[in-house]
Amino acid sequence: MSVAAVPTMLRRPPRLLGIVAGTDHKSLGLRMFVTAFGFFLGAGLLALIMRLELAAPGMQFTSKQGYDELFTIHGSTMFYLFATPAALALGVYLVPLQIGASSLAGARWALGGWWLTILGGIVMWSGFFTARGAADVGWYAFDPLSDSPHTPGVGMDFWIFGVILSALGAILVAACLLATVVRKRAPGMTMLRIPVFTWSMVVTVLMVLTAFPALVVAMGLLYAQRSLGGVLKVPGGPLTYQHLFWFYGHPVVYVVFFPFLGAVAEAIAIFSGRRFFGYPALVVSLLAFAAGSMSVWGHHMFTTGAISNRYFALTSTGLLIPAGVEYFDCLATMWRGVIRLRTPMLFALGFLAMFVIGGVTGIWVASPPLDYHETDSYFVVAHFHYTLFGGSVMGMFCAIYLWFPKVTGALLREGLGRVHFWLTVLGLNLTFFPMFFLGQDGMPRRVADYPSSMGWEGLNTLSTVGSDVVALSVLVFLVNVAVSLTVRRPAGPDPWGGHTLEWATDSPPPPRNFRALPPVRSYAPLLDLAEETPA
Amino acid sequence: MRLFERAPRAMAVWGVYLIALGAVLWFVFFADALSFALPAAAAGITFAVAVLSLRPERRREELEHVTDLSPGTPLAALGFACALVGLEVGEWLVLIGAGLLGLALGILVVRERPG
Repeated sequence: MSVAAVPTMLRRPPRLLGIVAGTDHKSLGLRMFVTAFGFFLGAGLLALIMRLELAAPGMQFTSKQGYDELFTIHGSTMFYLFATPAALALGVYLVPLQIGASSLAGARWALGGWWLTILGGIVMWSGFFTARGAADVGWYAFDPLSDSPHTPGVGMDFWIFGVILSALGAILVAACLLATVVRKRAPGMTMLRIPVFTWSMVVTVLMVLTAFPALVVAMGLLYAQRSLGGVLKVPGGPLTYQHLFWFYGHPVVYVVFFPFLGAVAEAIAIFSGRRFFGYPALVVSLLAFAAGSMSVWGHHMFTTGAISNRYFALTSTGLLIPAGVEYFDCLATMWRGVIRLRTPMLFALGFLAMFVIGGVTGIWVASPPLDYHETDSYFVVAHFHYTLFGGSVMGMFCAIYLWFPKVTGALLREGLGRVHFWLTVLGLNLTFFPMFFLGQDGMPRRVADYPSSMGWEGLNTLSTVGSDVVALSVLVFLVNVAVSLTVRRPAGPDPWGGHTLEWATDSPPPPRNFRALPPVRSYAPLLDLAEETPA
Repeated sequence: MRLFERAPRAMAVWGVYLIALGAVLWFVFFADALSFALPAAAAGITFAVAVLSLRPERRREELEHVTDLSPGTPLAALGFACALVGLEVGEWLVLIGAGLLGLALGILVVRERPG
């Protein structure tokens, strides 16, 4: 099996210093992921408070100002501090392993990126402790709502700094990942042999490198506007800000989608016992999807009346084509496969089922006449939570259950995993499906209260119960992790019958990743080996 | 598919696609200059990265050098963050941030230089 010797193993660094300053990509990826998950729990807590407030008419737990802060920091944390860093963390851990590299290119830059994200989070959340509270203008902070006269206080400025730091952090990590794929592939690992997950990371980091600078510029302009004045007060100034923001703001939805789609694709191939179907079509569709998703930002601005609605409706609807190719590839991989319904596969199937609801309602709001009706209503909240929770979070749990044995050397408990999965599906649908009806009925988003005469209480209460079920599901997951790490069931190098190189090394992998590399002749080298070996 | 066999070519194709979409927006749908400038700038970054990745590889030993610990890096990030937040909090924090950043860069250059 061995064709390439690998350099001598390095000693592991001291524990505390290793956590702070270690550059090994596995340790760094794990630290990035744990940090991101911590922010996920924090943002989830804020969501629970919001849902409690909305369960019944009247103000129960927060003030209106406090509620505005909650939804702002919830959304900001989910995008800037959880979903993007978690998606990149998966790449930092897995990409070098999947392409047969011994390390991450520019690992110190990636370490810096992780620290910038953490510091960005601390700065952003510290706004809660300032005199006027945290930022309260939504995760996009449109001007003039976010300028000094309308939103005074240092909490808003801290939010801007937090966004800048986390965006720069993401850019640094993305650059390292791209350099790793370009420079560090193992012998034989051509671009058309890199695994599906790694391709999903390639398009992700391309989007980070090309879209996130627009966010940094937008934040710079906003801060200049707040401290100096006049910057965005020229004709078209607020629209310029919106263009810059949404040029980042829509691609980021795919930045936090593609890596998890890649994870789901890997899980589907492994648990169907088949080579991933339509690899070349998937590669082309990923590239087309990524480029297309950078050409749809204007659909967030339909109601401004200042953009070409026809173009952005066309490109937004056009995303159906690459998305359809990817769905078709996943379904065709399962066709006539020997499907094993283990927890990662359950989450993969859940991802496909739930994301399609978000996708189809996305086509709905990509139509300007319908968008005019639904904009700023709970319909939009339901739509994007089906893409972000139904897609990204389900995909993230698929990735966790799939690669946890590789990262820790221990298997997660299957029974608790199934409970976690079904609670997630139940909670997700209970929380977000009622919001479609609330939105259709005219309930606006970003409100802390609603009149009892509107008849929205029942659906809101149902939604709040759903959010509690989601919280319970996360609790079950944390118990599963704790139990599985305490009473360990050894996983071995390849517990699932994986297809890609990370399954050819120990669990967890040694410091330089591989003692020896198998030959690489396709995007599923271990499957090639298995097929060559006589039964 | 051979177009995507090499990373720089795949990136270049992606950049061309971005520009094409931006051009359609500008020329066919008569959008403003900013609506074209944004995808054009993104394509520019992509082309730059593609060109950078064309550079010949350095010697293998140099590439394989990995510093397992980099205390200078978190210090640099902390210094940068302090300097940034100091813009709002006060000059004293900017100075502390600048000091930390200088110290970190010193550590990175003197102690953690590859080679």
